[in-house]
Amino acid sequence: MNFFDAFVQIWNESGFARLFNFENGGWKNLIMIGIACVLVYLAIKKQYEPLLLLPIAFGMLLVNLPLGGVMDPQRNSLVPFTNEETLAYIDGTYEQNYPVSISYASLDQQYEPYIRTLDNGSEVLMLNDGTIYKVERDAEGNAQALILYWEHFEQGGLLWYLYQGVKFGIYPPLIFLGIGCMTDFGPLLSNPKSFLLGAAAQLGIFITFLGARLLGLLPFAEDFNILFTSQEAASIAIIGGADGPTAIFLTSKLAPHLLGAIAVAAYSYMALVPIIQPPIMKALTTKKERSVVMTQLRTVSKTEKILFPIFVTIICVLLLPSAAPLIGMLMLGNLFRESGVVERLTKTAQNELMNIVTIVLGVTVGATANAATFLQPKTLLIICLGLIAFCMGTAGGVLFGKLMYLFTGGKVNPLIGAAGVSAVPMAARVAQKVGQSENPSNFLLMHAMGPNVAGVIGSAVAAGVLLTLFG
Amino acid sequence: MNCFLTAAIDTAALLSESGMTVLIGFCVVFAALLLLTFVFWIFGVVARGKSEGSTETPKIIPTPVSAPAAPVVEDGVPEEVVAVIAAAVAAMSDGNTRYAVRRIRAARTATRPVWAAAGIAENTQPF
Repeated sequence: MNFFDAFVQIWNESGFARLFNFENGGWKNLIMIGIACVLVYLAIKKQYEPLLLLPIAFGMLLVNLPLGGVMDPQRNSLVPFTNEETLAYIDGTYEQNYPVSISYASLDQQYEPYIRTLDNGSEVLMLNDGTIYKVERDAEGNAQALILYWEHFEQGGLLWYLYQGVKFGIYPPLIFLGIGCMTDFGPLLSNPKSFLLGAAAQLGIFITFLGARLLGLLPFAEDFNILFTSQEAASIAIIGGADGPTAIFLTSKLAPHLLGAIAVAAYSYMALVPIIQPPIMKALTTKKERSVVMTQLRTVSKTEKILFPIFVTIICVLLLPSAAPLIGMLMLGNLFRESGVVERLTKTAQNELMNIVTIVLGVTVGATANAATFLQPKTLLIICLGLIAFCMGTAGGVLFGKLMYLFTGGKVNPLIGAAGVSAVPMAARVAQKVGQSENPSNFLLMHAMGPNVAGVIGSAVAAGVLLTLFG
Repeated sequence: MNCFLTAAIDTAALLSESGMTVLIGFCVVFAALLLLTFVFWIFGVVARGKSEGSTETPKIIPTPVSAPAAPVVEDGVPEEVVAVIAAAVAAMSDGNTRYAVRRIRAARTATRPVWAAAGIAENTQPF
């Protein structure tokens, strides 16, 4: 082999050759690499949810580099013994590098002429094509051939192993544990009516589910491959909950092939809350409604705060057992926080554990977005439907806020309803900002935190409903 | 004709199934959170004492005719900081006194070096 041939061989076996082999779909990988780079830019330069968008984008980049194999699954296969290996096995000289698997096949009388006896007394079946099998006889003299295999084990890629935590629904509840440790449910406890705003903001989830399913009625739906099953529609709709871990949890259970697109859409929209929500909030409310000043919330006792996670867990899990992993871990984290007796656990859950899980969750979810699954017309639709879900959720919260405004004689500022779409605490900050732009002496932040944290519970309950119906 | 009939039946089935999902889903979410609302409203009543039944609903304060100007936020001050300041000011309010944030700006250079300030604090703490 001369220098030139060696160089050509190295090139042909490299990822570059695969990437620029456009006939075999290399262009798709190039597009995906471009998308990943745009997301990296948005995460670093624009700081769009960088804690998750950056690992997601890098996971996407990594998985779309040909031959990298970071998401290759582990394979176990059976490789038949060669004649030499069979003879060595009969002699007892076979070096067993891999586990041996044996299956037995009964031999009819017609095979008797093909059975030979070796020098050491062992019998073998030698077929016309030269294949040799070890033969054993039972007490009645009936022959059976031993078909020998060695178990071939092919190690999977790094991210494939880490992805199992997403597949088995482990990471999102761990994130919820950390969120529980960081969340103060005091504003919600001081004004329990906020729960209803958190429920109303889940409207977007169900409206979008309906929309996604009805897309299948379009005459060209089949031609453009935009038919969504109930499981897929439910996974897309949960984007409206504006809760990343919940969206990932539900999608990994119902439609794992859409995980990349849904995670990217969910986190992108969460980052765009300050842009998406204010026009909807302003369009649905009057200046008078936006100017309503809400008074100081009552102080919540420590006992109430400790009892809160216990009661929420009991009620929600009894009502919707499928929501147990999310609600349970969220409330466990909150109990850690409010009990005040496990400070070390609280700190670990909200810092180290949360950070580690965020890294592996982000990078593995990003790694599910390979060219074959991501570059589909469905992805564009998912992004559009996600936006609709988000807008409808905001509208649902604000409209219910208006209803509360009417029923309470103008004591509730409808803007706080928009915070019902989780996205903690950004949605509450947006309510504060929009309210203050109307009346600078208005401080809605703590009032909006009530619906905001209620939205976390609401979206977890909604995920439990969808999981029960379609899981 | 048969084809149209089949399509109509499929459409009706899809609409019915999806509509039912929406109805059931939304009702269950609302029912769950309504139950929580009720439970924690009871908590609040018990905590405040049954005699004070009115404080759980926030009171409205009429908006003044001449509202103060929006706070001037210096460039570079993050929104999180603005929100925290707003929350702190809101926490100061007793429901009757009104406060307004007029300007938020980053603190300029300290009047004395940090280490000197720490030394003074340590020396004066006993008193």
